[in-house]
Amino acid sequence: MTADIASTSNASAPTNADLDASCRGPVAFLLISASLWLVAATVLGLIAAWQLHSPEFLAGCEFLTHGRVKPAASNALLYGFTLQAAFGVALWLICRLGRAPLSSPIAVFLGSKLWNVGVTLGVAGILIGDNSGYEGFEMPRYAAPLLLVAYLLIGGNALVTMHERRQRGLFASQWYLLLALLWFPWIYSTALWLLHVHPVRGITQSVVNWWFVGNLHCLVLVPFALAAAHYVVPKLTERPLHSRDLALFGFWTLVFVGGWSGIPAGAPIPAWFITVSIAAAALTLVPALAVLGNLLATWKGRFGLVRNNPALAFALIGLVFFFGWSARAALFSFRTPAEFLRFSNLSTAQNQLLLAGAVGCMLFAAIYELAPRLAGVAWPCRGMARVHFWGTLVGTVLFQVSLVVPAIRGAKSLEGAVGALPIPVAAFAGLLVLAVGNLAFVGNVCWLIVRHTQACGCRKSVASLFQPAADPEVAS
Amino acid sequence: MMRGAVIFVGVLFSMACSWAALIFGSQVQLGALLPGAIVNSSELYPAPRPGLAQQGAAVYRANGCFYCHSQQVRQGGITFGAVITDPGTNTIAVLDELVKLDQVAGLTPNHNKRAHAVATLTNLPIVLVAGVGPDEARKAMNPFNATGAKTELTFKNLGADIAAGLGPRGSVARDYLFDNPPLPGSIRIGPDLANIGTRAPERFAGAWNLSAAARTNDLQQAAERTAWHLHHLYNPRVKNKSSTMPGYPFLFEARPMKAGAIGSPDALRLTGEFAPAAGWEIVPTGEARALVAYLLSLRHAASLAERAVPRPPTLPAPSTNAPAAKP
Repeated sequence: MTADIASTSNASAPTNADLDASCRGPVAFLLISASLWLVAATVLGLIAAWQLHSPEFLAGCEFLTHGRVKPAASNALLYGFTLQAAFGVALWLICRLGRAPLSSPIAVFLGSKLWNVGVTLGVAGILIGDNSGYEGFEMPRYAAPLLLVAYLLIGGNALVTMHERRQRGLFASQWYLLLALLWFPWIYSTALWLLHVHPVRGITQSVVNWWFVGNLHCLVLVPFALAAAHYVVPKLTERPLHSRDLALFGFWTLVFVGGWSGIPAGAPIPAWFITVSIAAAALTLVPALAVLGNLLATWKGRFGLVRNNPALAFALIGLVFFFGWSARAALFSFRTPAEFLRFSNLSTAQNQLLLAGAVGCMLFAAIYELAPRLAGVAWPCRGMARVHFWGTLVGTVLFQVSLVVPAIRGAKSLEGAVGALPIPVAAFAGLLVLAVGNLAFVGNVCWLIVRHTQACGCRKSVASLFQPAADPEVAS
Repeated sequence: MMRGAVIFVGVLFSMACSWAALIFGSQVQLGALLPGAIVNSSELYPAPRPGLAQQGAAVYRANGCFYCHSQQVRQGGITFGAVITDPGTNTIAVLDELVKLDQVAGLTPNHNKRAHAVATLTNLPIVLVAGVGPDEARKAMNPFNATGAKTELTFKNLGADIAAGLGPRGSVARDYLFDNPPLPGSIRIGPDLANIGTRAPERFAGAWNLSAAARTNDLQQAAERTAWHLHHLYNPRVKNKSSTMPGYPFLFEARPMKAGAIGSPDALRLTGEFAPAAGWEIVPTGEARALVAYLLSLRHAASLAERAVPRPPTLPAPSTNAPAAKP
């Protein structure tokens, strides 16, 4: 194996076009499926939010009752959009940064296909009433294992491609990608084994569930997003990363601290679990500040570029949302605020800020950068990108403010006993604005595909999207 | 120099630590948990749910009730107190000690201390101290124990949830022993349900008007609670106009009634705007019945060694010729 790499690395280095061609099919498939899941998640999320405002809406339909639509929406967003888009971005970054073509596009393509089958089965299973009961891991037992198999194909290939890289040194982006790619199968298989295959007893199931979700957030989704940010910011500002040492510090503190958070204050388990998680949540501020400081210092003096570049604009708000998320997670993990806010809409707001805000925006930043290169044509509509940006920013801020302010006010009057107040109309309006932005993005993606098709001629382009690249090394 | 192998080893090490502590650690500490004895009783808690309630848990899970209702009472801590339950026969000594206490209930500076102490003697139990640590409570009891009076250590469970009446004590790991999966929930858009089986939900979910007969008759009470929940599930607005909970009409069956026939005894009694069309009746399905059985089985209320439930102090039997009160 090593000998092979040594011999191929002597061959002429592949150009950017070669690298893009090698991963075009699978990455395009992942990103297009992610966009479709984003539409599904948006529609389901809007239904669920409106039901909180008007409880009789679709209540008569068994499959669309609030308690089924809400997890269906969150699973479509998490597994359908966020993780899938992250895989797509990761594959492209690994090829680009390692200067190596994708190891086995066919395997990745099969894995992506299987992932989508799994998510479809899972979301459909939730809607027909097979919710597993674990928040963040709701997919029924017949769907959840498919995702692991699919991941082994996708993630395994990503790791092999990374191993075959010609550019031996690792960029900061690659550290984070490696972290996320290694961490996900470990936590997912733990959750699968201890919750579905051989369920542990009683409340320890919840411990596994909280641990899984905390790790998924801190050490899978956040690293994927930071990998995108660490690529987009230096690349598009045309500056080297401000400080490699600071980047190393941020990375390793995240690795050692992130895996301990997730157990909520007040959980009915021995107190040391909770204390550990509070400490971890507070300490997660350290890597967050290191990353934020490092990237902003890289950026310093060139913030004007944001105006004409949707990728940079999304990276900026993604970083701000990320800092907001980690600061709030640290603050509200402590016992006293948690006593009043643990069961309030604040947790809804936190999830939204992480998934649609921080991680979503940083992934969008990478997608705005890579999609035109992949398709070989420029983004067709600047206006739609602008609508997407402002929709995401305004929608997220509106949603956050309209949930957090009543949550904090209500906490005092109700003394935390009844946690959440009815969702205000402003929050629904926020989701609606966010939906408009997301639809503009999906529209832009569709238009990009049409452009690509026109540019290449119809038949050829479909073939080029879904065939392994004509790279002799890959073919052999 | 940052190498792939360094990252791999570092990440694996960190992962192993977190896994060993939180996943393996929780198994070591809680994985072998067994039902425990209820305080001052030979009964074990918890017991597995009866079959119908077990089926109801599946309905609860399938319809995502746990996205709006938590099943977890949180407790802040405990404070202790001391009471005299029986002053005994050495009344003078007890009075002397009582006079030394400034904080005996209701004493103002203008009172004649001794006269007040005499008055409190007949009003059992006498609260010596409350809201303090266990050592301080014991210290307050000591001089009275020396007089031969009977004293008791009391305690109070603290926390916003308990103050709001969600339960008598905080939930503990043992409460979820037979829940598969446990559904502690993460958000309270509706009220907490950890004790819905014991707690009248009028504070959160509309009026709970048990008839006078029901209050004294367990069977009648169970029937009324079941009926309340069935109506509330069909359409929460039947019981509480301002409820934001969705109705679950798909757990009920609309049946045509034959002219002149007596309807099903199980049919919901719906009136006014909620009444079904003439000639039709609304009957709960097995799923609705199972769900209600499950709800009524939810009770994190047993007094356990790790989290006890305060009980009233045991007072001496009245020393009159009157017959003893029924237990």
